[in-house]
Amino acid sequence: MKAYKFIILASVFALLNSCGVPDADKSIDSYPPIWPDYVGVTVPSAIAPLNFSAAEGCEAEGIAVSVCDEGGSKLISLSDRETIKFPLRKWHKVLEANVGKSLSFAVSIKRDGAWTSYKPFSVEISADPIDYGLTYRLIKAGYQSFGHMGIFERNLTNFRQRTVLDNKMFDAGCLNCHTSNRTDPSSYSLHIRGDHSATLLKHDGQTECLNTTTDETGGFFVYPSWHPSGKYIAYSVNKTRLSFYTHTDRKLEVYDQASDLVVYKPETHEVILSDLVRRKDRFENYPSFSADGSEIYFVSAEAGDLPKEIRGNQYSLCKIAFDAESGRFGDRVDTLVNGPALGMSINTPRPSYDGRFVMVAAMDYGTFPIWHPEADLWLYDIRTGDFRAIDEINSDCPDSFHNWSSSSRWVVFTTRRDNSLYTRLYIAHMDENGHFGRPFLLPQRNPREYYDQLMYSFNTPDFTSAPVGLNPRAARKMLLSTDRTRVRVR
Amino acid sequence: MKRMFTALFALAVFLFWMLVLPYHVLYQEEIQIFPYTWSHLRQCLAFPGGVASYLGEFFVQFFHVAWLGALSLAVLTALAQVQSWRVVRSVKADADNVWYPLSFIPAVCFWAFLCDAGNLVSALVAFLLVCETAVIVRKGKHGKLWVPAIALAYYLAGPMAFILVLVPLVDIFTSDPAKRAAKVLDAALAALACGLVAVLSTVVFTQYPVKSLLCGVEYSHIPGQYTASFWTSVISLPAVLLFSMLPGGERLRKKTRIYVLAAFSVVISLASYAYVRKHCSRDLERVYAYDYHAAHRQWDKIIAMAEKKTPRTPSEVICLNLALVMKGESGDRLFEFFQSGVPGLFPNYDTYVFLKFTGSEALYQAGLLNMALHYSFEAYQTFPGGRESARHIKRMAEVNMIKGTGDVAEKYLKVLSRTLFYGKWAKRYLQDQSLMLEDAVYSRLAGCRNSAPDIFDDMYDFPKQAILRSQVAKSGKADESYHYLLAYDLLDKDVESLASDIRLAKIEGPVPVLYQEALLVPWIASGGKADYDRDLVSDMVLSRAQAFAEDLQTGRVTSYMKARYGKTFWFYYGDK
Repeated sequence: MKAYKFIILASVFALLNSCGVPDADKSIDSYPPIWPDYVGVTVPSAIAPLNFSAAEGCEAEGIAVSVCDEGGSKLISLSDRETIKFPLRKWHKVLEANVGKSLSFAVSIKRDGAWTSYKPFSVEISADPIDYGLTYRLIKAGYQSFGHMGIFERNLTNFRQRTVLDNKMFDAGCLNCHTSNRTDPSSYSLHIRGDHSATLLKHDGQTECLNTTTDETGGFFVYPSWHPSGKYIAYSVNKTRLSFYTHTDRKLEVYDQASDLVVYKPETHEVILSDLVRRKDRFENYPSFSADGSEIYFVSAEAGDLPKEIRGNQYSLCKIAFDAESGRFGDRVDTLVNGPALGMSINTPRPSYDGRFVMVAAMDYGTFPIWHPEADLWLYDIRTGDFRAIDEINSDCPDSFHNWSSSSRWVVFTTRRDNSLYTRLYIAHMDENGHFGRPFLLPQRNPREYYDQLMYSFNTPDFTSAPVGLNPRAARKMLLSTDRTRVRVR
Repeated sequence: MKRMFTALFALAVFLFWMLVLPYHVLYQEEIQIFPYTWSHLRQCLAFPGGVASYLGEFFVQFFHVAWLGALSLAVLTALAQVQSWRVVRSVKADADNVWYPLSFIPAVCFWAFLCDAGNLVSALVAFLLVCETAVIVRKGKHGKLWVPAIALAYYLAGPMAFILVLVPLVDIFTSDPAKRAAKVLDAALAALACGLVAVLSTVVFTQYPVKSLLCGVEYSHIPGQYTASFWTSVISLPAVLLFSMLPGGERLRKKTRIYVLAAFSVVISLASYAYVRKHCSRDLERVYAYDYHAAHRQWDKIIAMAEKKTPRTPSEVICLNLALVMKGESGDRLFEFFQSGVPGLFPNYDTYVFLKFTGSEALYQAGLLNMALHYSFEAYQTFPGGRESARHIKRMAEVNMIKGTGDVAEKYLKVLSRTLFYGKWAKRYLQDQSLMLEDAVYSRLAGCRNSAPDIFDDMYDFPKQAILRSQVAKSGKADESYHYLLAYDLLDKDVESLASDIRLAKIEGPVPVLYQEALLVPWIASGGKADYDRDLVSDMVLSRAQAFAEDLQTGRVTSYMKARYGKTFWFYYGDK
């Protein structure tokens, strides 16, 4: 009799603790329609809770989830009318206990008073660490005016977002092109356009405002990339224009009518030039130092009469050597991937910090991928020269601006896959062989409400290994003053 | 008696907003949005004065209906008067009723303050919250309460809370000399609290300029810009408070007191009238009215307004021309009114925000969808203060539905679906965007999408004439786009283009007179030698052209020509 009671109790316990679904009226052998779609994603152990709701169109009256480990033990069980919100501490406890393993999420959705259970999906908890957080710009998805925008930092372990700099502080200038040195915000470059234009540079514990125009270089410094030593920054100098499509589904085209590369040495305020990357017959753009700093990757296109010849404006992936000791460019430019030969335009090269790959955005033509629906992310293997579209993470909408984590195992990129206008941030894991896991949308406390109501696009995301620590008020004071350190050509 | 005064005052405010500036009220609602979401509330709770801002936006949503807006403003303004008197009474319980009319001054100041479209209702709400705080603390009769009260009021209402420091200060002068030392301590504590709150706010809210933290983050559309009417409103309560502490007419006889009170009331009423009138712009109201009618497709009202008084501002002219095109009258009546060239049809891109608002209406109705979206978006994006705008979010939803970019439209519809007045409309299309084809305007505009080749220009603007021409050539219909194209040719004095553009579609019925006049311009210029399109020109117009040519040759004075031909295309064509 005792044995019989024990068996019943054990069965009840097992039933309660098993990774089944909550009492369901029926079950379906397909993955649950949830949003954000976290089915089969790979996440870092430090990531904020992957809260989610039933996908739109489900007309769900309730949603429930049971999270189980690989052994089938139920770790978290939750239900809600609209959104599953995991408790922060418990979530992290569960993830930390399952690093390198997968968690199973069994979801049930209530409709018309009845619960339907779905096939459980797994989420891989990667052992590869991710940085403290992200920095990004939030901007209204507009055209050309400088409306409200700001640079923000987001702690990846929770949902906290902090303002790094808001343009309301200095009469609505344009904040863009913020870049730290390999995710280390102690070296930080931020370009501001508008009435108070300047390049705000933080390095060696100092912050200064630069006037980066010179007679020789023409315009302001635009797209930056830090040398790993922090002693140099490669910049592009662009004469950028906008044009508008009239009736096509495309809205606008951002292009350069001239662009060159320079290297800036903050210590001496010197600009280093090379005729090889300042050619009149070519547009050079998006410089990016290699992992060891010995080379600069960039893109280059034949100079054309733009916008008339916009469809022939195709960039190739190139590199040029750079000697940090002497501060000199190499004596030749190598073309790594010939864009026009492949019928594509290659942009925004970002070498991984381990020196293995260069990730780029590629589209049919032009130099500004976010307005190109066909823009995709591609991967160039530095060792083998292999060049492939990263189909694991690409979508039918623009997938573009990207950056690596300091471990070179995670990539953050912008995409319009959820909505063909408003860009959002997705994070993807890459294994040691260069294969990517399914990307996931940057988690939010209530993702449905947050993303539905947010009238801003995310862009220029980058990982940051620590809070940026820029004092907005001090930065404002500097920007509003007319004091600018002038750079000079060496 | 007091209640009656307050009620009369509220009625006056209501009638003012209802009859004098109703479009100002409607405009205020169009340039904000109040979504019922936690995220919006959280956003507002994240800065000092955010609660006042949230409540202000809550009230402004009712401005969607003019009378509801006027009622909300009347109630809030009347409350400002009631609260002012309550504060006076809380400081000096036996304040003489002779001073009662003074309590209307802060309310009148806010009334005038809100006549400026750049100012926000949240400032008035902040004032009410601060008054209530003062009354509650005074009831508590505990001086130490000023410290937490000022901190809390600062969080709820913003720096308007700093006027609270005046209450314990006034207390010093009105209190019993024996208790004066304690009152001095209270005032010192309150002043210290203000100082501490000010310093702390600059440390905590580093993303805001110090000026905004000390003068108000959300009291005006442009943070950091404060008008004279703002400062007058801020200092009005302290001024009233100080005045009310003066000895009143207790010693006067009852009848004399009534006369004094009446005289005082009359003086304040007249001063209030003058002050509000000074801040009330009828010209701007007319501009808002034109814009509102254009946005709500009330073409007859626009034409009726123009017939009463010829519009002259760019925005009014754009609305009038839009109405004339939409009513099919542009070909006959365009030059009955003042014209300022092609910018009177569509503004150049490089213009001020409000004109882009209005301009996007004309572009939208003309079927220039990408441009309409562009102008609307830029106007919305560059609107001072970076606030969201219900009208423009709706326009973006509409254009994206029409263009077939449903996923983008859905984004805007979702935002609107969380609002009180746009929710029903948005939810309808959220369920099924194809329902837009049931709407005549949406359906017509859907025919305009992708109808032109991919014209790509290197200017910061669009080749509007070429796009219209391409659109009309494809549709072959004498619709609104067609009449816009011909109006463009007329206003551009481009008779050569008009002669070919008019053939792009067949006009049902008589050809509008102005088109005929334009077709006859080469004939007049050549002294009757050049040929003209005999199919399209009537004998009546031809005989007028002959008369015009004769008058021109005989060198008639301009006043004569204007009186006789001022409404013709010929006069506009020859006008420098």
